[in-house]
Amino acid sequence: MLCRQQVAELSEYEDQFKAQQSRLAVIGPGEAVHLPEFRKITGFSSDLFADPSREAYQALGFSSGIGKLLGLKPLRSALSAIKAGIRPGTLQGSALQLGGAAVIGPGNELRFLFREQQAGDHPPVSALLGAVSAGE
Amino acid sequence: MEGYNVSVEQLGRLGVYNEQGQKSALRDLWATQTAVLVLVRHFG
Repeated sequence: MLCRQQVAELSEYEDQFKAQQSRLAVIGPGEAVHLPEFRKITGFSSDLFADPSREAYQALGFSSGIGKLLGLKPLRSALSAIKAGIRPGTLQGSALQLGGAAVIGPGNELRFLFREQQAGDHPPVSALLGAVSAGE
Repeated sequence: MEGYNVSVEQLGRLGVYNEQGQKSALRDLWATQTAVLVLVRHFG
């Protein structure tokens, strides 16, 4: 549920990322067969990829564990999503995996890294756009 | 970016799958432009 809301909100900024000649991509830890439905639900039109082995998550140092899913912030985020009309779907991927964001390039330059500390702790879109514009 | 202990070269060698099930290397995303990667917890 939280991830649907996150990507649906991100889709509202796709034009701004394109205007800055950056390539926006969402990656999930499930199987590729789930990508078309996720695109349809979120309205996201940029790149969508699946990383079923979660190797990219591990390479970026993103955490995994039950303790990261509990707490007030995840609960508040879930309630916020429900208020916004986002309904939970069938979970595809790892329930215990946390995500994050990275801004890289051109070339192998890491400009920005955000690691979720707990569920619902999403990277601010303004920070992502700021990291892109800082490299221009 | 220092202090995060991330190897972008290693990350770039990893493969991800698109909607057609085709595998491509992550480094292709940032070879010629800035890539913004958002890794979500799940597809649900």
